Amino acid sequence: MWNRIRTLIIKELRILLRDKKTRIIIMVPPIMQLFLFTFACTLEVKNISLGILNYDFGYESRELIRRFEYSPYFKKITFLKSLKEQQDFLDSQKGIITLTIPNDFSRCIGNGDQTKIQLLTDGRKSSSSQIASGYASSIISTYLQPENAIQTEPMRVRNWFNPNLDYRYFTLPSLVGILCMIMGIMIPALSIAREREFNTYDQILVSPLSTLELLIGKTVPSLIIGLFQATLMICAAVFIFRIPFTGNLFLFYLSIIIFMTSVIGIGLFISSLCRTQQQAILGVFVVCVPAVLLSGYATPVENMPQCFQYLSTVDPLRFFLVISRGIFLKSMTFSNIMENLIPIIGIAFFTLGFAGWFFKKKLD
Amino acid sequence: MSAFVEIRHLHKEFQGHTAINDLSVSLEGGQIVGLVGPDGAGKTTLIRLINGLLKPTSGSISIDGADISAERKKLKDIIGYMPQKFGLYEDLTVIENLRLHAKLHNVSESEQKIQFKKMLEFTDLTRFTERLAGALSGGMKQKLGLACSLLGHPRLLLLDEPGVGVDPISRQELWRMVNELLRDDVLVLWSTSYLDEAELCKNVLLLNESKLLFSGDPKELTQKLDGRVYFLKGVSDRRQMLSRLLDHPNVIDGVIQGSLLRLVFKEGEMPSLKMLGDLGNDDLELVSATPRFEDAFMEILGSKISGHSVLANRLSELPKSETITVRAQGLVKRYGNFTAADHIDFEIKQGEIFGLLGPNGAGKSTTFKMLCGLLKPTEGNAFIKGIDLKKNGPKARQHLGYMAQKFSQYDGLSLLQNLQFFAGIYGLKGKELKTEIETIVSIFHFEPYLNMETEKLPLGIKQCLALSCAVMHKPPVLFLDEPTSGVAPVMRREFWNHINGMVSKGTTVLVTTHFMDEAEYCDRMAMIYRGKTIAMGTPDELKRKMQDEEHPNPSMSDVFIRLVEESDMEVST
Amino acid sequence: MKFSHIKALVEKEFYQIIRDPSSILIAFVLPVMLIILFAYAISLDISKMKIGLVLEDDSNYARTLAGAYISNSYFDAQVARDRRAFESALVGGHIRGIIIIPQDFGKTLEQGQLKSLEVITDGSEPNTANFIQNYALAVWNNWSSQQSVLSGRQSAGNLSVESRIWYNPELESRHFLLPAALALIMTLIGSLLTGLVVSREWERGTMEALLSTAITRGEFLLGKLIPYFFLGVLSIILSSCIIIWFFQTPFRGSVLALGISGGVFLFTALGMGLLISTLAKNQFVACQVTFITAFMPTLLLSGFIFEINSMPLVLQMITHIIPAKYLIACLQSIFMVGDVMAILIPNICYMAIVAAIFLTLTLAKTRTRLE
Repeated sequence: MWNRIRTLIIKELRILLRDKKTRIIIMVPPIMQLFLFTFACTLEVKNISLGILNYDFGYESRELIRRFEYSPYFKKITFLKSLKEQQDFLDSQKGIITLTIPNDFSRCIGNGDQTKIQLLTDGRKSSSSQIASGYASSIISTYLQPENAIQTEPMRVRNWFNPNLDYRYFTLPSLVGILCMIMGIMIPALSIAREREFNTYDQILVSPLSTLELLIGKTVPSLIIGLFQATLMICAAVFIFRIPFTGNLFLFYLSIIIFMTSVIGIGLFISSLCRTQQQAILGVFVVCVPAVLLSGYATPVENMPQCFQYLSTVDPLRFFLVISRGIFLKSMTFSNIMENLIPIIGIAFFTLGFAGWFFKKKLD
Repeated sequence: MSAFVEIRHLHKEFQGHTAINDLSVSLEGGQIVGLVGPDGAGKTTLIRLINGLLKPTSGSISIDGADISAERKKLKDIIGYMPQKFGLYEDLTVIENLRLHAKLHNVSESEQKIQFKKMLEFTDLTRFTERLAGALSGGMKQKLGLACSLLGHPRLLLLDEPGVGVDPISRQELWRMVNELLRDDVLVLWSTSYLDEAELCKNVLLLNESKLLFSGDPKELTQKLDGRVYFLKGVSDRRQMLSRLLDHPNVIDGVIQGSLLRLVFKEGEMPSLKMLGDLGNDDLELVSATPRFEDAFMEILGSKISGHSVLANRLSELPKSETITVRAQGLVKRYGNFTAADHIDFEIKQGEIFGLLGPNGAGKSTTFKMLCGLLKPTEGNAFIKGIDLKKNGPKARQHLGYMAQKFSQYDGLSLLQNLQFFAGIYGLKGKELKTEIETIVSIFHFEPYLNMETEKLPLGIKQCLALSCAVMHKPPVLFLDEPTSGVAPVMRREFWNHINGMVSKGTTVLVTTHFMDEAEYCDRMAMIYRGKTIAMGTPDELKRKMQDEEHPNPSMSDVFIRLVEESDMEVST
Repeated sequence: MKFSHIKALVEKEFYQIIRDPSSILIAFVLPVMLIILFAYAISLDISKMKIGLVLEDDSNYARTLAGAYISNSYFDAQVARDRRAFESALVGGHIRGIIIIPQDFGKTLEQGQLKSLEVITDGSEPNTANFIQNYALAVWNNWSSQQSVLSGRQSAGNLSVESRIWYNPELESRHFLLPAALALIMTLIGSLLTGLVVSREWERGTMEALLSTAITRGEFLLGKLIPYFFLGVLSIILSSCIIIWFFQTPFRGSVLALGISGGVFLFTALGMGLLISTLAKNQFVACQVTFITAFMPTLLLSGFIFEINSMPLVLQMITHIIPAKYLIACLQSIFMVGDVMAILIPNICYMAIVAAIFLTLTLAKTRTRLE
């Protein structure tokens, strides 16, 4: 039995690595994703382009504008001359925020009277403009504070596990899970669809392989590739991006293996429904996109409508992301890991059992 | 005045490999020209060159006085082409396929109606106009493909192996259609691996290793063999005798035909029993036979096959016994209302070759698949060596060697890796695995191809690989599903040689085929039609049954066609 | 170029589309799925964050402040006396942050002094960490302005900020995500679907039959472009209707502007898909290349979710060659602002140029022979 399984595994790996096309899908998208996700995915807002409609000609407004010029967040300041220009500025997305300084600004400041600065932001890019508006507000509100005033901050904030809120601390550990999932679903789904298209499936079905042997033979190669990619990601995270790895490496790999098994079950399941590679690819797409979006990667799960929250409980990625970030950054304890691992194990049993049942139905 | 198609010094190379080498020929309109040759001889390349789908490396092809490279656009309208896969859209219905091709061939609306009616009548597809092309049987697809290529009245019709995987009845109809539909001045170039088809042509082109070996009337070649073709009667062990005679220096070709052996002798001495030497105690008799084109083909290619199968030599002889190794017991397969196989019953004894014959879509593949466990029977059981496939699939399959209809080795693996894989999943390991692979490699002379990816292998080598993968674990039962579909005669001889050898050693073989001459190799066979067994017996028995005044000496093909016709009549009455 | 040829090819393609479940899946099911996911599962507006509230002080002030944290819509707070109760919950990912009202908070306040609150966030998710930080402060500000003890401190500033958000005052992220999802859908239909169809002809051997008929390159391409263009249009209409009527996204521009920008973009996507499949000749490769060159960049680099200005310079330059970026700019304006010519004209022109380049390349690369 082990001999047959080993033969199957060797064959599967040889096909995966020999075929140039498959090598491409194994190597290129992960590297691209690593690159894109780490650099492109940031919700930080920098280099903001600001429009200023200044009705005031006094000293105070010039001083305030200087503060903006010195701010690291605002890169380009455009001086607007009229309301129409202001509207045009925002409409045509020359910038996402404008500042209106009233004509009595300097006078009011001088007299100690109440005055108001208006901030207009572009709701089309609501998150960036909110952040930009936050930066602007803080510049304005500190403007009148005397330099020497010692004030107690109302809050002392500490960000645990990631003191500078570096976005990569979040992206890279999550990416380990996302990539493992895509590989774990895609490789077995495509490999079986390909066997069907090239008639090799029948050839395997008439061989003395049993369902279990076939199942193991299809699972292990994807697992090996997934682990290889996970290792790559971990190394990239730790050595290139200098993200601390605080937890137990052994537990991490154990979790990856269990997680991979559960998603491979999904891949095998897809493959049993598909006749061609094209259908398999679509199937993978239809499963992977919601799985990523519902995992809490893009939006915390508790923010979704109730039905989506229920749906996400069958998404193994949801649990794995907690483990992955937990072990990576939080040196998560065993009991906390188990809490998230148990649902994954449940899903794995279900998907693999289902795939096995499907295979068996066809074989016997 | 040059001929209708004029090919001069045609030369085609693909990445350093010569596909067509200095070919010159002129072909006049108004005839069917057969294009024959072994696999990889360049038949498809030649057809594609004539069609302008490929550009010649050097030389020229002119059609109706216009050069194909320069004036392809103009010529497109007078060329009809049917590619190997028929070029049909499987998700379009019959009539939609016809309509598409008619429009693309610039057939006017009014003309379309007339032509469609005619085509549908001729192809007998009128009932199926709304059926998807993908749901048609192989024979019907082929007819539809032909109909599409005939639209717009081409003056040059190029058919690339239209008969591959198609049963004799459909092939006969195709031949009839082409003959009837053609106007006087049309030239048909018909590429085929069925030499009985080529024999009907007035003119054949014989390609071998990218060269034109012969062009002209096949009779010219056949005549040379007059007085050199004989039947050997009264043989008790046909397979052993054939294997011995093939090694005889005076015998250049031999096949089994029912209980007879058909032998072709070398030129020169008048053949006699004495010349053949000591042939044992049988009461033998040599009877003169009419030469066929196939005999001539084998001679001109000069590739004589050895009678000994090295592949079989490695098998240890199984003790002769009368045990039943394969049994089909009331096999039924239903798909909804449709019964694909209806109570199929037969038994195959050890060391027997059993043939499953029948038109496309008759239920032969369904039966075959149920026997090897690829399909679950709705009713009934299949046994291999007494093991019920339903109950213990993996164990039963351990005794089975299987060669699929389509090439089914892994394209991504090299030849050696494929061998290793198949040996491995059949449980060979360690030293045993190594020696088996070494033996196979030396038997088939695989050495130069070991590390080549299988998709790049020549067709012949691919077939050998498929066979070796199926027999590496020395299975006592071998299932072959159209193992020689699209394969030229030389290769087929070699194949049957191996099969005969293995059967002599006690292997049981179940085979399906569309080559009627291969059916002659079977010890017994079953004809399956409309899901039922309509006849079963030895080839001679079946032939005898069909004997009448009109057909005193029916061929296997006649038997096939008559059986189907009779069954049709029974159904209609 | 013969009209009858094109008509025949278009008809053929039409039958294939309606009979192939995967085209229907890509054109109608996937869009609906994506829209629903983008509408519900992605939200950049966060609410009801689970936090732990540690009340180390028992004074009246501490209690009213705690009340403010408990009773607002941003947080879903559990209360405890000891911060250790929440620390492991934070590690386990059950809560996103801890707000601690320190000992003697009330006492110090009565003395006119301020003792800072402590806020601990889970930095492993920077988005929510930021959110908690900001809203903890907002709740504090709100509470403190009501407290008379602190009101005196406010008088220091006479300068206030009035902040207004245009186009999307409620800050519904759906309103800008859904129009952008349209671009993603069009990329999928245009590139993925057409990417598959030409390679399918090669794989199934029908290309050989087509090449031997009297059709020209241009006819072949038009025969592919026209049906998938209409399929794309249908899909856009369906998606737009769902977005506008079901999800109540404002639509302030004109249908004409939507039609033109969508139509032009569809040509770039179709051109890209056709080019990929003409070069790939194999469905599998075509699909992968489409994913890498069209889908991923549209999702990540088009300014859809992530701000282009904040990306590294190299990536910013790459974003210029991604057609979806220009469509998203158009769509967000058409839906939320109106027909802003200053945005529409340059972006549409750019897309038209890209479409022309792709289609010309495809035409040049389409072969009329097998080699």
